[in-house]
Amino acid sequence: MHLLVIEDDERLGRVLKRLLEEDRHVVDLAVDGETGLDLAEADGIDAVILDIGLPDISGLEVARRLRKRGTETAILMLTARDTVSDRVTGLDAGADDYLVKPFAYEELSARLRALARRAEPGPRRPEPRLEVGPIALDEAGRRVTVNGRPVDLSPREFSLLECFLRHPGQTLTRDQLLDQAWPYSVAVTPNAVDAYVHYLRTKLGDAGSRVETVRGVGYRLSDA
Amino acid sequence: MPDEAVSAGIPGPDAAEAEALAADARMVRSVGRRLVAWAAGTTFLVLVVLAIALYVSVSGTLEASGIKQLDSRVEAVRHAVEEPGPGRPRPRPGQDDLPTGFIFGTGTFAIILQGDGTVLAPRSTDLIEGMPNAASLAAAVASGRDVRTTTVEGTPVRLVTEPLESEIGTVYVQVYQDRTAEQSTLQGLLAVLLAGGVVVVLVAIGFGTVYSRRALIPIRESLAAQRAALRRQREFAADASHELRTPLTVIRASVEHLRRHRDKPVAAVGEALDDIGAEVDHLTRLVEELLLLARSDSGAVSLERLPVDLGDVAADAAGSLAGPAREQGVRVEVDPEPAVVAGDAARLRQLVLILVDNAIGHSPPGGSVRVAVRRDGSSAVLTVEDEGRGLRPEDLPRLFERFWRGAGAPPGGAGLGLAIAAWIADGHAGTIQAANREPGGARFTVRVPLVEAAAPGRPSA
Repeated sequence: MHLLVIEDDERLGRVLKRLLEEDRHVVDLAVDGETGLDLAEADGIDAVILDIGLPDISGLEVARRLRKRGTETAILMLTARDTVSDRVTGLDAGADDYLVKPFAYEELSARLRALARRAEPGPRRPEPRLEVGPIALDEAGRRVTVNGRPVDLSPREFSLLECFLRHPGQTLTRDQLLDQAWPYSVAVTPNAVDAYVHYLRTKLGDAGSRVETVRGVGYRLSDA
Repeated sequence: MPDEAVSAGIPGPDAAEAEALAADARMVRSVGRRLVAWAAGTTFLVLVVLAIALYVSVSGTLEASGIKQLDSRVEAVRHAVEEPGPGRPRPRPGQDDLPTGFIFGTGTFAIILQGDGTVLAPRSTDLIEGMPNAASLAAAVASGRDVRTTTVEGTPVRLVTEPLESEIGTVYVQVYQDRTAEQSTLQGLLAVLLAGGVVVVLVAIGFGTVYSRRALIPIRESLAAQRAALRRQREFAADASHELRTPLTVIRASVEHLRRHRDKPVAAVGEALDDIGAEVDHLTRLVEELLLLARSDSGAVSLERLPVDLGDVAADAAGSLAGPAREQGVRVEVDPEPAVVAGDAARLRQLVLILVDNAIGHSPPGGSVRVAVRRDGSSAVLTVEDEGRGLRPEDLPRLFERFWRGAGAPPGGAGLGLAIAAWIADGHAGTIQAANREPGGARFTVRVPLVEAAAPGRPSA
């Protein structure tokens, strides 16, 4: 998933980014509300992890403004306040979920998966698992298998594959893939997408041919 | 990290406290009402007892004097009848030369009659309708003497009937007395007592209300103060836990990271270890600060009052920060003058450290922090100046509040330093002030009374 972490505590932001990236998420980090608002508006962000206590505008206000602008991105709010009224205020401001510090990272991770499932159209999947043909992606374990054999992917390749698996049969443009799989803080050209898709195909072996090139547009994961 | 509450403005009484305050007010009002009721009730009871005693005593006195009058009339008649001298008349029907009938001077009316009710004197034409009183006569015939009150022609009377031994045998004398005056006296007394009672009870209620209100003011105030103290304590606890949670989150997440890389060399996870170390330091300082403030609230921290040279303390404390400051490109200049105050050297050092550390944190690279100690009249004056952006006017009133962090405060602090500094200054009977300097930057000024206020500089050799 492409995540945006809005957290003013530098160390906490860094630690979260490190853990989330290890789980092959694409992570952007903002240390204040205004920067966070700008980044959250961008395409490709799947979820925003939003701290309430920010130096400029409060996280509550960030959530309110995002919802007011019609942004549907999932918002997971982080806060050090744990009274019922704090939680209610947070959820009413537009957050989808709410986590009280100090939380366990596994819980943050599980809640992000739940938010991702909720965002998908169609019936709910019972398991945190994305599957197309022989390719399976275990969201909880952040592992990929082809025909049951584990495949070792780099974070970027993992993100690309995740993106394909979430939209099987759909043509994804280079820009869409770029938004999903690269943080905004990294300047890359659409050509990078071609290079990484190539690596991904190679690592997937026989199943790699399922990633089809749509000439002049982008790529598509065949679900046939 | 700024507190959520800060952006919401100064936290006033919350809903729960407002409710508690209303309950307090209700309780105080009900106590006031009860006090008034007790005062009025007690006054009323005392009045009732007094009034009854007065009434009984007055009516008893009036009755006794009335009966005495009747008795003297009876004696006069008895004398005339029982001791007939030569030429004295004997009682017989229709007689009018015995001392019967109404005699003006005595205010009484006497009848002599026989046991069967036949009036012997005065003449029947002199009798008033309703005389003689048969019931009283019957009682006297039976038991010897009868005193009673009744009415004759609508006039209230007291009458006594007694037997007399006369020459013609036992006859009876019945004497009447008009009670109109007595009764009106008693009614007047009753009216005065009732009216006076109502007035006194009303006055008691009035004074009771005024005085109970006055007496309850300190209670009301102390209740409100207690509620406010409770609220501050609750906010303090909430703010404290808030400040503790973020470092704990970092530690928890870093430990999670270390667990995942159990088998890696320490060098590979050094960043996580550094984060944990930094947060533990941060938490340690925070806990110490919180503990100090909590103890200072409960009065459990006592400051020493020994002669301390504030100049020495400032030079030493500021000097210890000069090294770390240099790494950030900030120069610390100290210009001390000897100034002996009565104080706690460790706390004063802490005060200087807080101010200088703050100043360094707000200094731009290449800036300098100036620390000076001067004697000014009866005070030792410590100033700490920086060349930072200065203080926002809107922050000034809240600067010394706990957990207050202005926008742009350097990271790492919890907003307790200046609260502690203010507490230390206060504990030395001193003051602390913050202001902006003209060319830019902030100036903190601490004034503490000198020990020898009049000491003129250094003694010359």
